[in-house]
Parts: sequence; structure tokens; C-alpha cells
Amino acid sequence: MTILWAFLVSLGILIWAVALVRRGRRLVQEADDRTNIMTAVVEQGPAVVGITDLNGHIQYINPAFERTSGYTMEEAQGKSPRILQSGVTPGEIYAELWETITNGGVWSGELCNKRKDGNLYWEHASISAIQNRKGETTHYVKVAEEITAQKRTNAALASSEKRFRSVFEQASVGMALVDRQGRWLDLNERLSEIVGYTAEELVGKSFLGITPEEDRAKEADWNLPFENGELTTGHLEKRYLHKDGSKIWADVSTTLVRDEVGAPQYYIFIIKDTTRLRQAEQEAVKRQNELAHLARVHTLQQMTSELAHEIDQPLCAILSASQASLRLIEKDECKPSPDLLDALKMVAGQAERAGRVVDGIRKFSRVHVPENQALDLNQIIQDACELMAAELRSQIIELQLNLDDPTDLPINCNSVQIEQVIVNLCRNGVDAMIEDGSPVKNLTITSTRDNGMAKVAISNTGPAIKAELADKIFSPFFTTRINGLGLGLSLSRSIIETHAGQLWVEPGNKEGTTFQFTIPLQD
Amino acid sequence: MSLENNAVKPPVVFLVDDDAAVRKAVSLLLKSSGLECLTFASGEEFLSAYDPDQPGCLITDMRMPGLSGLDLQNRLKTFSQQPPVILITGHGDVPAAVRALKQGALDFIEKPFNEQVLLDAVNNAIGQDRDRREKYALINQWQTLVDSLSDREEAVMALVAKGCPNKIIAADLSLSIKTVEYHRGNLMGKLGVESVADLVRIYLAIGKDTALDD
Repeated sequence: MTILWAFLVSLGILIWAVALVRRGRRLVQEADDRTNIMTAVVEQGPAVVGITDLNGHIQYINPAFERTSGYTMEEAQGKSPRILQSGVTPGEIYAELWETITNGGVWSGELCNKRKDGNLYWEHASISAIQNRKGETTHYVKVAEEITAQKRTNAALASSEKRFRSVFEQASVGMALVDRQGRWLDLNERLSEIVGYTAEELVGKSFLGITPEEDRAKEADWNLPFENGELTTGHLEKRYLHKDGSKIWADVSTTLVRDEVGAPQYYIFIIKDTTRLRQAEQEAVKRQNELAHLARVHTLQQMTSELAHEIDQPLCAILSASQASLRLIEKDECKPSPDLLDALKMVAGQAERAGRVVDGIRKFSRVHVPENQALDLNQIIQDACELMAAELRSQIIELQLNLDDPTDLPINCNSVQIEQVIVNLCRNGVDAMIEDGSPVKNLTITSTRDNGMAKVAISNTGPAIKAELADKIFSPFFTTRINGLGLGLSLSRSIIETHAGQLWVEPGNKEGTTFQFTIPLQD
Repeated sequence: MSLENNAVKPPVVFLVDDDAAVRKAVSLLLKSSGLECLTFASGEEFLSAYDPDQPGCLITDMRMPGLSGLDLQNRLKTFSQQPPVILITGHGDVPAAVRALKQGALDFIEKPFNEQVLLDAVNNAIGQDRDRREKYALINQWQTLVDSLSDREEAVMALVAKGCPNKIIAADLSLSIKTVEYHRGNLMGKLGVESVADLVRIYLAIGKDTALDD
């Protein structure tokens, strides 16, 4: 029995022992397995892991650490992590880091480190203390992830953002972002200057608020073609109300910005102030109209004067003949009927009356001509060219100016009239070249000093004027043009002659015509 | 003082105008008021026919092809005697009118004109021409008389005209007073004057006045 008990106990012990051993083996096996996995994670994972002792000497770095830092385990071992310091991360950060981890905390943040080859790299690191079972700190461990590429992308984004911002801010045109309802989202300095309002005053309000009231209705549906997808970019000439109450003209380019899936996001307005340009254009148009009006007035004057002369001749004959008749009747002492005498007297009376009417019209048509002024002929030529510029451009005519040097040609004149002569002569050349269909169309204006006179030559490469026509073209109502009135040249000549100068044409060249005129110099 | 009245030709109005109707009508008007009138279509035509001895006046249009009224007026200055010039124009050109008057035109009238304006101007011009011709004739006559004097008589005449008494004249010319009185009587007889005043007038008229200043 005892033996049996002993046997049984022994067996029991044996079984227990075996079980214990087995369990132990299993536990050891399990522990080994876990360690192996952990090791694999550290050794093969992407995380950068480094371990130092309490004195901050590197005990271990994993392969990821080796790859990012460029140091091998052998090189790093026993060294301080300071070998990685780049100088970019401020000292306070390290101080804070040490304070945190020595107090048992976990520090995490971005560090800029220096690779072995000297290049910098960024990592996001978590550093903490490792404690043993007794709660004593034995090591420090850093687990980090390299974020250099990410940092670079961010920096590139920031710098491009900055670049675009500075383009936006410093652009010489007004720029704005506007929401789909036309409310200002953002606008640049230049736009503020154009409209006189600061960005703060405008943001959130519709652009229609600074549009003149009379234009608002027609601009209310401004965004329809964009929203309908008909337009992506559009141009508009519109007016804005400046803060000072004045109306300004602007050339506005509108672009609708859509997101990746094509949904409308917002609009970009690019706004150019064209007020001055328009004023200059209007001024030029006004001056041209004035010149045209003056030309008409002159023409009318000349026509009236010619007409008056032509009518005066027969009137003179009618009046003299009827008065002679009355005298002859009286002398011959014949006795005509009183009606005949009345009729003859009436003829004479009405001829006199018609004469007075003609005289009245002639006096009325004689407009007041402004006084002459001391002016520079070269300047007048340039002003005239400015007036012609658009016309010359549209007809693709090359204009060459050879102005006298020294450039001041002082003359005493009525600038508007002289300008008109130059424009007339240029236009004559232009018309001739267009009618001729010359492939090369050049207009040259030359000014020189010649014997106390300022001399201007206006040449064109059109057809030559026949010698026999050289003087005829200056007579009133002579023209070779279908629509010409034939007064431009006669008018120009009479203007130059009232300035004590001469105007003529150089005939006979194979091609091209040169008109020349002189005006006495005043120096 | 008496003046032999030579057979003076009747005055003629010369009319120059390029417009035939005007020529015809104006000459009719002039003739109907009893004036002789000759018409010309251009200044050139008139100049080739002009006789300086023919009294009268010239009416010319201002604006004509060829010679203008002003040109014609200037050309006439080369003749020994010029008719008074009346310019007519259908062109109310004040500066040209002023120029014409400055150049010696007598009058300036605008077309169409009333007969009275024209006739007044013409009569005025003819009157002026007559006066001038009479004066011209008289001076010619006086000149002939003075030319008929002997040298001695002419010398005495000059001193008388200067207002010298016989005594001084005699001393100046180394003559006796009697001889001076004799010459003086002769020359006054030849000139047909009775007073020293008339003698002085003749002396001045024939342009010997510069001698007075000597």
C-alpha cells in the first residue's frame, strides 16, 4: 500500500513534473516566438529605432536608423546622439526633450538631423524611457519616421503659394477672386487703387455694388454663360463706381475656376483700368471731329465765296440792264404803260435785294479764325501724325518722319489749320496709294530749313501726278476721286498762302508724289 | 490869267470785265446816262488799246483770269497819264480793297451796285481826270511860255519869284536897275501875267520851286 501510494505519488509527481516541464517549455517557446516577432519588427520594419543607455550612449540602432542616418551600428555604438544634430533644431527643443524623458514622459516632435554625408533630413520622433520590472529607468528609446519628403512637398507648396500671392499682390492689373454670386472673396492692392476701396470694404459684397446704377440691370446675369458651361473665360468692358463717385472704365477678364470633378468653384477677375485710354481715344476722336468740322466750315466758306461771286455777276448785269432800260425809256420820252415801268423797277429792286442776300450769306459764312501763335512746326507734324496713326495702321502704311535737327522749327501760325493741311496732304497720299493698290505703301514726312523758311515735304509711294495736272489739282472742285469734293488741296493751299507760304506738288517722278509747303521761320 | 481852251476830247469810260453780260449791261447803263463807254474783256486788251491822251476813267473788275484789277492798275503806272481807277468786285474782299486804295485806286464798289453809286463814282472820277488834265495842260502851256524866255529873262524871273527887289536883282546879275526893269516888263508880258503873285504861281507850277530854296 505504501509502495502503491509511493508509486502513485511518484507517478503524480512525475506527471506534474512532466507537465511542468512541458509548460515551461511551452512558455519558453512562446516567449521566444514573441521575441522573434518583436525583433523582426524592429529589424525589418520601416520605423527608425535607436536605444541609448542612461548616459546617452547609443547602444543600438536598427537598420532603418542606419539607412536614414548613414551610420552603421558599429559606427554609432557608444556615441552620443549629438552626432546627428544639424544645428537647425533649436537647443531649447533638446532641453525640453531631455526634461520630458528624464521625468518619465514621452517627447514627440520633429527633429532636423544631419546625415553622415552632411545632408539634412527630417524625422518625426517619439522618445521615452525604458524601465525594468522594478520601475528603474535603464535605457532611452527613440522611435521615429523620416518625413523629409513630406516636409519638402509642404515647403514647395508654401513657396508656390507665396509666389502666387506675391504675383497677386504686386500685379500691375487688378485681380480678384469672386464667388459664384459675384461677391468679392479676395482682391489685390492694385484693384483697391483702381476702385478706391480697401479689400476689407469690399470682401463679401457684390461687384454690382460698385457698378453704376444704370449698368446694374444689364450686368445682373453676368455669370449665366459661365454657369451654363458656355464660357470658361470671358471679356467685358464695363464701368465701376470709384469711391470718389467718378465712373471708371475697365477691361475685365473673367475666368471660372472648377474643381477636379468640374464643379464650379469661384471666378477670377482680371481688371485693367482703361479710363485714361478711353479718354485719350475720345480726345483723339473729338479732335478729329473738330478738324473735320473745321474742314467742312472752310469748304463751305470757300463754296459760299465762289457761289457768291458767280451769282453776283449775273445780278450785276440784271440790275445794270434794268436800270439802263428805265433811263432809256425816260430819255426817249416814249410813254410806256405804268405797268411796264413798275415791272422794270421791280426787276431792278429784286436784283438789288438778291445782292443783299448774297452779301449777307457771305458775311455770315466768314467765321472767326483764331489768332496765330508762335509754335513749333515739328510738334504740329507730330500731332498730325498722331491723328493719322490709327488710319495708317489699319491701312498697313509705313510712316517715316525725318524731322529737322535741331528739332525746333518756330513758325507763327494757327496750329489747327496747319495740322489740317498736313492731315489733308497725308490723307491724299493714303487715298492715292489705296486706289492704286500699291503693294508697298510708304508715307514720308520731312521737315527742313530752307532760306528762312520752314519746308515740309510729304511723299507717298503712290502713282505720280502728271505734270499737266500739277497746278490744276489745286483748283476748287477739281478731283480725280470718285467721292472727292475737290476742295482739300485748294483749301490747303489757301491756308498756307494766308500763312505767307507756298504749297505745290513736285510732278514728273516715275512713281510717288511729293507735296511741299513752306512757312516763314520766326527765328 | 486866261487859258486857251483847246478842243478837249469828250471823256470815255473804259470798262474791263471778263463777264460779257456785265460788260453789256453796265455799258448800257453808262450810255443811257449820256456817257461814252468802251468795253474790254481783259486787262491786256485794254492796255494794248489805251491812249494816254484820252480823258475819262477806268472801271475794272478785281477778279479776272490773266491780269487782275490790281495788276492792271500797276501796269498803268508806266504811262505818262493814267485814268482814275474804279475797282469793282463781286468778292467782298476788304484787304484787297484796302490794297487797291493804297496803290492809288480812286474808288472801290461791290457788285451788284446801284446805278447811283456807279454814276457818282464815274462822275467823280471823270471830274478828277478833267481837273488833272486841265492842270497838266496849263502847266504844259506855262512851260512853253517859260521856254520862250531868254536866259537873262529867266534869271530875272527866278529872282523876282524869290521876292528880291530890283536893286538886289541888278546887283546880283551885275545889271543896271533900268535893265532889270526892262527885262521884268518883257517877261511878264511874254508870260501874260500882271502881278508878281501870278508869276510865282507859274514858277512853282512848272517845278522850278527847288530853285527858290537856293
